[in-house]
This record gives sequence, structure tokens and C-alpha cells, in this order.
Amino acid sequence: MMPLTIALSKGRLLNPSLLLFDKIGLTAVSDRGRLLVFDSTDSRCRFLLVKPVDVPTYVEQAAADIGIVGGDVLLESDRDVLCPLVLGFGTCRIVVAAPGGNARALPGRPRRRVATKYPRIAKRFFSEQGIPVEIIELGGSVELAPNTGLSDWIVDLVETGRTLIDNGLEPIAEITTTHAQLIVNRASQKIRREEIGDLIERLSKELPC
Amino acid sequence: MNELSLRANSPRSPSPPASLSAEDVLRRLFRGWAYIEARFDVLQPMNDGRQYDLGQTYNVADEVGGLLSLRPDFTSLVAREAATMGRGIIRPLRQSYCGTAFRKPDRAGDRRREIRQSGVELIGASGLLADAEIVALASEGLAALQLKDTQIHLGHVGFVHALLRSSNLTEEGKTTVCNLLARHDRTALAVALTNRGVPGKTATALDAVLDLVGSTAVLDRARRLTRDSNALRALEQLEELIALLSRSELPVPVIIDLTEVRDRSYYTGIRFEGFVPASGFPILRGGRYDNLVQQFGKAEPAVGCAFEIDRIAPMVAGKGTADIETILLCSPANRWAELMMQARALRAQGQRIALDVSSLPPDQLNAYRSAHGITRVLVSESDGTLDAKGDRR
Repeated sequence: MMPLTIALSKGRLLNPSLLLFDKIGLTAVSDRGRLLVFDSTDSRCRFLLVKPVDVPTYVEQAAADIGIVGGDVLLESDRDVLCPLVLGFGTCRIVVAAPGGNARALPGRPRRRVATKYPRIAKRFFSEQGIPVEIIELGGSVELAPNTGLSDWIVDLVETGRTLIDNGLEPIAEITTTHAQLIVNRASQKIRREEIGDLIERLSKELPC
Repeated sequence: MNELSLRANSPRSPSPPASLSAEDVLRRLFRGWAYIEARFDVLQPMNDGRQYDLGQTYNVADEVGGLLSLRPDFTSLVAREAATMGRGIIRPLRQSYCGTAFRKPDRAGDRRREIRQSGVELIGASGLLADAEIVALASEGLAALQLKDTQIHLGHVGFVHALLRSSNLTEEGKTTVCNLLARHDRTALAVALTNRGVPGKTATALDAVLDLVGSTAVLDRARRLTRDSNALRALEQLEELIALLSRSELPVPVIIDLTEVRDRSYYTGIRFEGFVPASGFPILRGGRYDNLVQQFGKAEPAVGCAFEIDRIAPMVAGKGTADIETILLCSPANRWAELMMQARALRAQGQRIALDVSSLPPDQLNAYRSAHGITRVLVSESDGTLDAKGDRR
């Protein structure tokens, strides 16, 4: 039987993800250095280290059977994957923030400009709220946008809120709370359902109630 | 009975010749089941009654201002033919197709623009035997393609439809619940069912749908979830079908799967998908769609399936051994007329003959043989005999 391939997000979710798999006996080999692909010590699993934003793609397109990804990335990606388990870490909020908590647009602008790494989430939110906005997609350092006149607001992921405060921003609306999620390829769920079902059950027992 | 009992005891289908494509293998199978291949133009009128989302099709204007689309699928074209040109033909109709459909890649998970499919449609037949014919044909198709460790997941949309009807959900609520079921998102599903006031028993049943996959014990578990007569009838139909398929010893295992809720407005009865470990996508889809043909003015039952050739072909390429050898006929110069006549005679015997039109030197001949699956090289001698220069088998 082929090892189960698990795509892990590099960055803040990596260590808690590896710890969770370790708890159910799927321990990553220790001498992995800078490898992006490595096995569990019992060779039942193969871990892939990928950029968080790519995890849903790896799973949807079957390069991995399973993945762990932040809820923010999953919401933004809109990929066709199964989401059978919410994990107990990586909890964040996606918020709309403005300088000093001031919701007004800059003078002379017909509509508010919103800078974000999450254009889909932002567009969906403002559309549901009936607020016309202009979305400006950025790749990072979104907090800079209002302070340079690039945007009125931002939509961003907030863990502690410290970065917002340091940049003179305050939340004016919360869009959603997200958590790390286990995602599964649709066909893998069918063809390896017992193996994956067992893994999900064992993982769920390790999660905080 | 369990899923293992559905495995084949019967011998596998004969190996497809190495040179046969997945389409060739399936064409042969479809012919063997008495399906007649229908052919359709790539450009199709958009005002023929089909209900398409224009945003999903590739459209062009014709010379008089009408709208044409590149055919986005085959099933609706077969249904249209059956309801119009085939209206007077005694039922059931057995039609097959093989070709490329064109759709914009906006469907979740499917990035293809060109979708190669081979499939069959059984029009005008309802009931157990018609359903069984299509599932059995699908199973034999997977076996004929020699794909390893394939599975067919078979369900019946009537069960979830009935649960949704008894849920008091609005249409928007049903869509939301189905989307969450389709993503196996139990956490969000629980919130949605609570927020929408779905009665506890129905909410429990809808959540439990996600566990209804496996052996026939699944049917018993499903029965315990509801007393709805429509849901129970769907389970009964599925049980009869599984029992019949089990007795007929299909070559591919069938797993009962009631978890699939997508395309709920399209399918009206059984639905199934085929999977293979080497592909992260279904390689086969099928089911009963009794509401399709009536779009063209004539209501009648229909059931069919389609093989995803794009996903199958890479796994089939190079498999099996040739049941017809390919022979390269060579000749010294000036014997071309004799060579062509000898080739004609051999072809008439069913042989596949390539002529050495380049007069390849011996060192290139071997490379050519390897590259093109040539099994034998015959040299036409001056006395008219054919001299074997090697046999790769």
C-alpha cells in the first residue's frame, strides 16, 4: 500500500501539525534537515511541506491525500476538498480594520478601498453587507496600506491583534473566526476510506474538547 | 453479503492490445452490449431546449445571428436525439458516444476545458434491470481497461432527497445543507441545522448520512435513521440492485455509498462513481436521470454512465500485450508493387502491416521497431517469400 501523503503548511501551523500526528503515532523522521518531503518513522505516511496557500491545491489535485491548512486559506482558495475535521489550533479572526477604528472613507473617494490578501473573502463579505468597495489585492504587509494612503481599510488575519495596534489600526468588523482544518481529497476519501476514517477518528480524540 | 462478495469470481476480460486506446477498448465493450455509437457535431445550436448556463459553455454567433455552443456534454445530445429524431423508435434505445466535450473550467476541482468522454445511455427503460445493466457495463468497462484496484461507489439520491423533504428547510437551506454535506463539514453542518430549526431526528439523520458508506450493513443503518416511505423505498431499490449485481459476480467491487449529495437536481435514482488509486478524481460517473429527456418534449426514463478518458488514458497506455502483431514489411528496392500486394493479402488476414517506406538501415530498424511497437519484421525476398528478420515476442 502506498503511504498516505499529507501536505503540511509551512509556517505557524507546522509544529502543531507535526505534534498532532506525533500524538497518534505518526512521527516525522528527525533527520529531515531542509527536506520538503519526508516520511513518518513507520513509513505509513509521507509528509509534504508546502506554502500554506498551496495546500488546498495539492489536496484537490490529488498530489496529497490529506492536508492541514488554516481556515483563512481554505476560505480564500475555494478549492473542492472535503473538510471533515476542525483542529484545535491555529485559531485566528479575519477582521476589517481601519486607522484608529475610523470607518469613514478618505475624502474624495467615491467608495472605500480595501487592501487585503483575501480578495474572495473580502468581496463576499462586503457584497453580503451591501457595502460597495474597491478591493486591492496585496501579497503581504497589508497593515501598511492605510498608513500610506493606498487604502481606507484592510481585511486581514488577526491572531493577537498586536500587529494591528502597532500600525495604528483597530478592528471595525469581524468577518469570521477560523481554525486549522484537516482537508481530504475526494477520491482518496473513497478509495482509502478505512485508512483515512481511522486517522480522522484518532486525530479527533487528541483534540481539546 | 458484504462488499467483498461483490468481487469477481469470473475471469478478467481479455487484455486490451497495447495499441488499443482506452476509447477503442470501451467502443468494443459498448458494441458487445449492443449500444450503437451516435455522432454529434462539435457546434450545437443553443435554442434546442437544453438548459445550459451560458457562462459555462463556449459560444459563438452563427451566420444569421443565432447562438451556437461547442458541445458541453453528450448526454443531453443523446437525450435530444431520442426525444426528436428517435421519437418513433421502439424503446429502449441503446446509444453510446465517444468524443470531446467543451466546458469552461469553473466547476470546482475540474480545471479542464476539453473533456474526453466515452459513455452509454439507455433511454426509455426504468427499473431494476436497466439500472443493473448500466452498473454492470461500467464494471466490465473498468475491468476491460485493466485498471488496478478499481471500486464503484453506488448510491441512490432518493434517500437524501427524502430526508431533505422532511427537514422543513427552505430551498436555500437545502442548498446550504447539501453544500456542507458535500464538503463533509460536520462542524458547520451542525450549526446550520440548529440555526435553521431542523428537527432533532432529521438533523441526526442528515449528519449520519456522512457515515453511510461500506457494505450492505449500511442499508440497515440507513433504515434506522428514518421512517419516511420515500427514503425507505430508495433503500429497497438499492438493496435489490446490489443483490442482483452480487449474484452476477461483477469484475469490480461495488461499495454502497449514500454520502454523495452533489448534482441533486440532475440525478433521480441510482448514482455511482468509479475510482482507482492512481487517480485523485472519479474516472467514471453515472446514474439515473429521468427528468432530462422531457426537456426536449418527451418524458421518459434514462440511465447511463460516462468514462473520463483524459484520466484513464495515461493509466492504460502501454498496458497489455498486443492481440494483433504489427509487422513491418521491408523490401529491396524495385519490389514495391509486390510488397504492396503482399501487405494487402496480410491485412486481409487481419494483420496490421506497416511498410518500410524509408528503407531503414539495420541499426535504425531496431530503434524504429521499439518506438512503434513493431512485433516482427518481414523481408520480401526476390522469389516472393517473406523472410522473418526477428521476433520481439
